[in-house]
Amino acid sequence: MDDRRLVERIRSGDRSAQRELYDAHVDRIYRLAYRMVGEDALARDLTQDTFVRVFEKLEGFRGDAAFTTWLHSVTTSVVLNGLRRRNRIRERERSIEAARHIGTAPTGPEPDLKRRLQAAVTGLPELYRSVFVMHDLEGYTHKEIATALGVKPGTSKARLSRARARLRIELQDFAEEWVA
Amino acid sequence: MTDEQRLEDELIVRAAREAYNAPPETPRDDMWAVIEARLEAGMPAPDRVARARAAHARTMGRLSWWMGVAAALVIGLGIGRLSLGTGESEPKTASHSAGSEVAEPATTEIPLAGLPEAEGAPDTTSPGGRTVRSTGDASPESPREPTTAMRDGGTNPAPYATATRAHLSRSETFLAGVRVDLAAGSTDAEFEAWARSLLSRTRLLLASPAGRNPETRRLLEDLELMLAQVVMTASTSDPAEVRLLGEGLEQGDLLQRLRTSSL
Repeated sequence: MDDRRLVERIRSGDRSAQRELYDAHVDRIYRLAYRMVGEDALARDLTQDTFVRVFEKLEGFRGDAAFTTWLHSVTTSVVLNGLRRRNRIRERERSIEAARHIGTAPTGPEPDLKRRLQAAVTGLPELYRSVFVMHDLEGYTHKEIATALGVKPGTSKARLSRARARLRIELQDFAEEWVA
Repeated sequence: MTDEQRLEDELIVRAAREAYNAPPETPRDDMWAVIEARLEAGMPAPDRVARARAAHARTMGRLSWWMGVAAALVIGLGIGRLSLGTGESEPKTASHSAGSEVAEPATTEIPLAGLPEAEGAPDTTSPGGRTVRSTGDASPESPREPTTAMRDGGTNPAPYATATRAHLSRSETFLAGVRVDLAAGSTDAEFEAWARSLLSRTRLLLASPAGRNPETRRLLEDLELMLAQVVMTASTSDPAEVRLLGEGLEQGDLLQRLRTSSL
């Protein structure tokens, strides 16, 4: 059943249609949330927040755009806000943690690829990382990303290009090894 | 962009798909249960939920703090009781061998084990009636003399009553200061620490024989509530809570009761 029919059923009070709509989209929403935040608990919270907000605001959804477009713009808004809140908290924790380690030399082996990759992607500016995660990891189109983030598709492409370039530099040693 | 760069990009993306925050299987049913419950409860989404969560976190923070204090008090009381129990036979021998009855000192305080002693170590009185400040590192050659509370196994209410009066007096002074500051529209940054200290002691007294007297208990419970409110207000600086606290202090009779009881 298409989204438009499901939305109509929900508006007419059919509670089972809520679950159907949820089932149709939850994977993509949860996957994006998880990719962005990297924590199950927070990804669940953000997915839940997204759907609660969607169901509450469904009356106001005019249907001019595709439902998925609207859903993804709600998702990115909820996820990015959640991520910023989390990062603010982490930043405070990190400054305390950093102060604790002042004067101690770094120990341990050279980080492996997974850790380097994690650090490189996480270290991207949020604007670039969102596009990289959405496009390259979760398969969103530039049009979808542009609508969700409220930018032009060209901007989305440019950001992706910069994100990739930064990752290439960050992971140069690994990348050269692979190519060789 | 060169072919080599394109290849590097592909490899990085492939690796990132596998390694960067690879999502587990979607917990559909678990999440749906929460969503359904929230929708049924009419709970609004993100903004208010975030505020509710923040309030919950604050409450949990306070709760865990109180639980920590409570646990420390319970452990402290337990240790205190145990040490009083073991001291029961020795003091008798000691006082009998000294051949003199120890006069009950007016300055004796209950040994408040486990509680941060803001006012310093409790005073004890030597057999000769001389008041000495006890320290934790008393030498074995000069064993710490038992207090009245220790001699009777901690059930003698007199030292507790003395300690309670002193505590009520300090609390009255503190709350009067809070009232003056609130009226002047300012709050002292040290209020919170002071209120916490008084609150801990209030709870300790509530758990002691002093709390067995119904009238004292009521007063201590009212004081506990007020101090908890001061702690909460000081930690949040919420103007509404500050106003409520000021009204509570102005309109209630707690200060008067404290003044009367501490006399």
